[in-house]
Amino acid sequence: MAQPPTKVILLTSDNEEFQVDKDIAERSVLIKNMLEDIGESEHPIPLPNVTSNVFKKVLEYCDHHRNDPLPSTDDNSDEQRKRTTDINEWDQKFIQVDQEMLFEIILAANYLDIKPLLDVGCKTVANMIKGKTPEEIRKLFNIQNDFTPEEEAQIRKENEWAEDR
Amino acid sequence: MSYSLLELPSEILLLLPEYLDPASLDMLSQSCSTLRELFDDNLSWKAVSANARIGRPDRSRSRSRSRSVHRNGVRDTFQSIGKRAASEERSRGRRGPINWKTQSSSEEDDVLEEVDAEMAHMQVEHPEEAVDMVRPLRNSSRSLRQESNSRSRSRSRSRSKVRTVKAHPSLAALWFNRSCTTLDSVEVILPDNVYREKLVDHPQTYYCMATEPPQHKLDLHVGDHVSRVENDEGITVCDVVDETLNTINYIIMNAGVSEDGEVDPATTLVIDGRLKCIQFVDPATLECVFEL
Repeated sequence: MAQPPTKVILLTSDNEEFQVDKDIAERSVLIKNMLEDIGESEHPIPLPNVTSNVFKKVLEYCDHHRNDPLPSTDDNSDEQRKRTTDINEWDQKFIQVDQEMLFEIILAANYLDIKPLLDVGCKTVANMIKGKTPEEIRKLFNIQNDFTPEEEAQIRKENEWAEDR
Repeated sequence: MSYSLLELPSEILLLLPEYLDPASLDMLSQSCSTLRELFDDNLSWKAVSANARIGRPDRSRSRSRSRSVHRNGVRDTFQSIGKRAASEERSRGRRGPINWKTQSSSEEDDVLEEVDAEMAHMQVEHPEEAVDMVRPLRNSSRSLRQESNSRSRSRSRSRSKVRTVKAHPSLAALWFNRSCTTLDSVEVILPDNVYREKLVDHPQTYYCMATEPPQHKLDLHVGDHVSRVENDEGITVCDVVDETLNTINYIIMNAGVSEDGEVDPATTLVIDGRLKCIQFVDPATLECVFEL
């Protein structure tokens, strides 16, 4: 007989409590380690760096991937995982959010230590950058061009020969 | 709360090179001074080089055709490496220039996968006291560019179609610091499926360059002497300091037979001199001018 899954209570920075199946919560290495440290507890685990709206999104990801094999710590597979820029269909849909949410998800994935999610976030940002000019990148990410005209001329010069002309 | 990319902590931003190709990282670092400073370090370029699969495969485990360099004991000279490579090639019944294109046999595919696995990280062999010096090409292009400018001022050109050389995108990340005078061998593997062979293998290589698309013809102006090198597979130029660490030799890898010289097709052409400029003459021909 399958036991009902153990629940853990997590408390986001805006004081919202989440009751989450333990195996889902443990997709986060941070939470997993915390649970190991404190053992069984009725007390909610505080997550001071995550807001509830972002955490909902993160939980959606963890729920979908609850049965995935845990990412290996092997360096080689790590490199290979990063090298491919493909994102699977579900993840792609999942990560179709506005930029603010995308960055929040990346920050949360980093804080909660959910490597595959961090990967999806970084790959998405990388894919947005690919093939764009510096000016397009500035526009896309709300970056101020703070180079002086002299610096810009210098950069142009440095890169000139790498351009097809 | 609205985020700009710059509001991400640098800890996160520094992850990005691992997911980017060299050209994109270069574009990103040109967008503002913060990112430029952030990414203008060896580690970022190292990550991006690994991404582009520029690296040093472990030849002991790779079955791919290779020129072996024995670094223990006797130091190989470039010539001896070349000669050995040539004889190895001939013993396989091969004629003509070394082919760097991938044969698409299934055995070869296995090998490539194996090589890929081995190339997870960029390794440049060097003495322990030296730091890995992998620099973006922009640091080196400056000098070549200036030289080429000064040349066009001093000598008028008769041909109209002159373009500046375009480096292979993967090589945009390759640069070995000249201040480090004892770099050992460097091996370069181009990233895409077409060019996977080792391009440069020489102790004390400082710089190398392949062009994309590959150039088939190379006009070499050495002093008053002009010779033409041809190779359907493309041509690579690399810069090597000789054993006295005084002269810069330019080596044209994968060179074909020139009309007026006995150039071993399976090896390389070594020119003692300083590269003044490299230019496209027409889409298929590069012109290299050397100063003796």
